Amino acid sequence: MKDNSPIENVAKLARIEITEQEKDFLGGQLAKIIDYVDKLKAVNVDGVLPLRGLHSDAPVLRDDQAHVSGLSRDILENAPAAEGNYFKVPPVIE
Amino acid sequence: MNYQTVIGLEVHVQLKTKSKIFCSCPADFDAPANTNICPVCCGYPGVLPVFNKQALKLGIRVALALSCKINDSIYFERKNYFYPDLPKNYQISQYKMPLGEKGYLELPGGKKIGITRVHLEEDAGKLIHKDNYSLVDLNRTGTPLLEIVSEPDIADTQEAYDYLTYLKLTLQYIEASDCDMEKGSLRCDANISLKLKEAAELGTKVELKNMNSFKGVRDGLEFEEKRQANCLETGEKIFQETRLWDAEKSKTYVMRSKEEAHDYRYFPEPDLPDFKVARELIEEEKKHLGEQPLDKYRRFTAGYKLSGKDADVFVQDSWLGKFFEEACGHFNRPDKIAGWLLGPFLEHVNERGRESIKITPQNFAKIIQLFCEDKLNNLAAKKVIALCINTNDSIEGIINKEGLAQVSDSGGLRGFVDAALAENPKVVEEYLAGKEQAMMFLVGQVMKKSKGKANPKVTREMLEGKIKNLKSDK
Repeated sequence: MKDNSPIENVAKLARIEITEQEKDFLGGQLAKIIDYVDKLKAVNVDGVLPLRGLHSDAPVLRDDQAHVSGLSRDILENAPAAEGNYFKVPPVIE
Repeated sequence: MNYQTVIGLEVHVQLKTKSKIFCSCPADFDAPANTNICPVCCGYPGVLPVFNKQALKLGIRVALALSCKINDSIYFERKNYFYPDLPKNYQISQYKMPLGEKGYLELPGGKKIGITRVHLEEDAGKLIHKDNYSLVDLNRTGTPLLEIVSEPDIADTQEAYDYLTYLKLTLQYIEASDCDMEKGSLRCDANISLKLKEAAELGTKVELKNMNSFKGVRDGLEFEEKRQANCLETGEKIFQETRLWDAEKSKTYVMRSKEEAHDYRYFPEPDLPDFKVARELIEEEKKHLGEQPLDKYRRFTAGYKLSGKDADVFVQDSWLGKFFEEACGHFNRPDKIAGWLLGPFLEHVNERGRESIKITPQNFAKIIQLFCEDKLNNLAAKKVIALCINTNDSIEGIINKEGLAQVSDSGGLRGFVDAALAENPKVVEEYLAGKEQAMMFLVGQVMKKSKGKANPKVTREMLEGKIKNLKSDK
């Protein structure tokens, strides 16, 4: 019996509805990806510190200066729906 | 049964910066909707966040004020979830390596409430719910927030209130945040559970949200405390759930429960490097700490010998506290200065507005000094305060102009005393018959005749003396 729970979980977290057919198809692909990445588990990483980036010694900090981007209109026009100055989205239930 | 309440608070404060935490948009979210937005805070592809130095500095300052251990190197992580107020579909936050850990906040009673962690993150936008759709304003998106998580050390609802009060004062003193709960620059969620006093294990905790004021926090916790105690008494199961406080109905109700635990899939933010927290930066922020609210409270109670209640007023109102200290510098009677400041002075301030107050602490001290030296009586002192609080005119000038100087010499009072006695023989009889209030009436008469200038103490002594003489004459 094939386990579709990983793909169901991912779909749910991504708020995507998928059909049973897609579950099988995408679930199979996801399983392969997970298998591939799982190879890393075989590597002994005892004593190896996690590396998050290569530029940790010279952090770039920005001075606290504000300016208006002036792109508000463009960004609103890029949205699928807007009302006045607001983005318009499907109802959000608390 | 005997239950122990266990409360932990999670507070979010907006840090006082000019710009957002990872982009240069103004951090002022009162601007017209969606005017302070840019491709970075709107989560456009290909943009890169750049960390605001001032947000880091203010975060360090708060961590220091709360006696936290500051981590040498910090990094951000992505907290992934979908919601329309979060354009990137993840919030840049801190998870495994927060800015500060293991601190505490001390309350006036001496109890220390542990601070688990202090971490930096960005705020989400604002939603406005309409009938069948919602509107989104992203002005607030990317505003720097500091999350301050307490240990479950808070033992009752009043302590929760005190913790919030002193946390707010601390943050305001060091100018890290406005902490205005109504404007949303301070938000508070709570965890509360009950256990039997002697039990080692904690009970099932309930998360409480939607409290919009400090009073709301206290009321919501009080309700929840009673509800849970009732559950325990009747054997009803307490669920680990999120409940919302409804201030109008004064009750909590279950937020639509999520079917499963949150799965935020935190991972290090690849677009931001690790940040070394430079020692120099920490040393620099130490200079901004100044006197903490609790130190001030102790100085006012121990040094000036004020009651805890009075000291609290001065600690919570820095302007008034400063005025008090300066006035005491000119006339060293803190008890009198405090009494007159918190009484007649504050009444005027509340009536006329703080901006209209012109009187200097020095002139205020002079009025109180004249009162203490019997040169102004109570009524006259109140009148002088009323007359010069908005002008800061010369005190002597006003006293002379209004003729308010207290008459304390018997020569000046004799005429009034004699007249009062002559006009009220019946009252004198009553006094002689043992009616104490009759004396108050006679003093009042003298006060009236002298247009409020008579020294009540001297007046009373003179009246008593004269009546005694009358009696012996009879």
